Amino acid sequence: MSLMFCRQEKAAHPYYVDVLGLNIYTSQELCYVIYHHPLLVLDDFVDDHLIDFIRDELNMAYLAGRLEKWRKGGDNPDELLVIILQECFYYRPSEVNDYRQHLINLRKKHKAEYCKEKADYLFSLKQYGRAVPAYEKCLEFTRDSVVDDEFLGKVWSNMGSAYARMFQWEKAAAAFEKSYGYLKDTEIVKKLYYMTVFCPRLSMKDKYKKNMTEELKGQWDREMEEARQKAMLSEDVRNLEKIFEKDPLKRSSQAASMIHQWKQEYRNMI
Amino acid sequence: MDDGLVLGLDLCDTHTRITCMEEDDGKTWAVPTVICKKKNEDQWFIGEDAYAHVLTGTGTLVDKILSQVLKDGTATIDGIRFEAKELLKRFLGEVLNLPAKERNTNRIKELTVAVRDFNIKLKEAIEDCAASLGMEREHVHVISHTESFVYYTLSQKRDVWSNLVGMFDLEEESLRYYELKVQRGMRKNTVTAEYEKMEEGFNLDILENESGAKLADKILSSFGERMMGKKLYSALILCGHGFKSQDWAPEFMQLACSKRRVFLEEDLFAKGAAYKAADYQSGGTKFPYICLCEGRLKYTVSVNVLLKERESQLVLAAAGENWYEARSTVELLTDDQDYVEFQITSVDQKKKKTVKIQLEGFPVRPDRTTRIQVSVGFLDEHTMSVGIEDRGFGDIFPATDASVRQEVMI
Repeated sequence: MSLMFCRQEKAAHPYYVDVLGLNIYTSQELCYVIYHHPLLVLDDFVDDHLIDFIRDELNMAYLAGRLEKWRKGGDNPDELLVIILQECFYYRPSEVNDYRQHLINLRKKHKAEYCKEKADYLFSLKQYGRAVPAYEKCLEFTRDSVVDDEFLGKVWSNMGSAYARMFQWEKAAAAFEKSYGYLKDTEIVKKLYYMTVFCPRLSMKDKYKKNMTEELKGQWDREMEEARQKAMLSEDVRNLEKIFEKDPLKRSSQAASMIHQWKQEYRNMI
Repeated sequence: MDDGLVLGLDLCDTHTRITCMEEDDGKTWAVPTVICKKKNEDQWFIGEDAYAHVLTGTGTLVDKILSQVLKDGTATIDGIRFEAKELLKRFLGEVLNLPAKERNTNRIKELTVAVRDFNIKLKEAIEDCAASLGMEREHVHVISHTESFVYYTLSQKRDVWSNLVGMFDLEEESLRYYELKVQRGMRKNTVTAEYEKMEEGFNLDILENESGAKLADKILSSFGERMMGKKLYSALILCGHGFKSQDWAPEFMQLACSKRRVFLEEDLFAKGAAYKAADYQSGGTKFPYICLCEGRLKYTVSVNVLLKERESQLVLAAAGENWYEARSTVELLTDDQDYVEFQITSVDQKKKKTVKIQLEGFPVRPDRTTRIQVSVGFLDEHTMSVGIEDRGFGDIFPATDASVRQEVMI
């Protein structure tokens, strides 16, 4: 338990982390992003722009100098992230060591596996627009013991889900069909069925329909209905209802703010 | 010296003295604190000139201006109602003219005003008046008589204050005993000054007749005996209009001068204020002491923080600072902690207490992602005002309206 003293360093011109869609104002926020999102910062995060920000806005010329020197030296670029964590004293030395080990473990992974993990991470952050090209990159690897049918099937399936979350139903259905080609899994048929529910102009091909019994279809319909009911009771819906209970003036201002939030979320997704 | 005056002003309800600092010494002007407006004309007079106009029936006089300012009082002159603050401004303008006329400059570089009892309302009124007279606020300061006594004494030769310094201040209806002691410390020397006032002061008019003078001498001697006891002094100072002549007080003078060095300084508070004004101008300070007296904090307020992995003590207000100027704002990150604990410590470290303020209503976030802004200020010497606000953690965890405000007795 403690209180950490913060340097007076709130940047007049914050650093925009594109992949997260947020601004960084302090060295602590920079460390937080590096520590919590290693997969997003591992490749080329520390560039000239970031070093300028550290020097000019955070007023940390010594750290900026160290980073520049390290980059010129051509040593392991992952260490640049560790240098930032060490110099900002936001994380304890033990935490920084754990982080370094985590980076080593990530680098030890098969490149395709690492690529998929990064794509999945983007998916988990609802960055679907960025996840799709990352999944596409996973498909470029030559087949081997890791890049097998199961791997490729999962990549196509996840890519389909990413498209679906962006309401791009045709592309989603095409990706699920590819996935089914590798996995031959009824779960993928279920996803294809749901695509036709969400987007009635789509139709299921006969070869998938064959795998969908009336019993299964009934079960999937029930699951969807349950999900719909659950969504109706979600906090977001309750908040929306509360807005409509308010007087017209407050309602319109809060509705505007909520729409702005939705638009922002959707822009970050695509 | 640059052009411009460095002034010390002793501003009391009954009298005012102004010292103009020149090199290491200065000249002092003294006037009664009264102001008079010439009838049917916009002409104002102060001091003896004011009395003269009243005696000839050509003016209306206002006295006790400071008391009136504290009471938000007014005075109606020639059918026009004047606020006490307006009268104080006019009075100060005329007083500041005394050295200005003689030195042939209107520019005042620094002004320190000593008042008998420090009061924030009076301080602000004086600063407002000075500002409306064209002075820059950062060059106007208000201190107590006790603090002025400290600056005066420490500006004397070291042997004057090498031990205890006592001072009797005898003015109209006011008798006070001041005491000052310098203690050498490991890091910094500390100067402690305080005063005691005699509850039943006497009017100096009683010194005009023999029996009255005898009575006054008795009262003063008894007060002196009680205050001085068997203390060892390096100097004793007699100050104030009452000591202009000491013939009326043979008994007290015998007591005071017994094996002691006694100084007489009528303009001590104006001079002390002028020394302080000169010190403000010097850039550094000739008084590298922790000063503990009226108007100054007697305790240091700090919080324990983690700075570059090390436990450190972050001082928010230091003992010896003027309480009305002591304020600080810092930003801290909470790490598995939902409170802020303040350490309140006396200069000698003997008295310590902790005050814990819970961060009630603050959002629950992961460790080290709640930045709080802690602001500390003082309402008086003994009351600290603390404000803690949630500043969030950038865009990652946006700030909320959560805040805590608390007054803490120290």
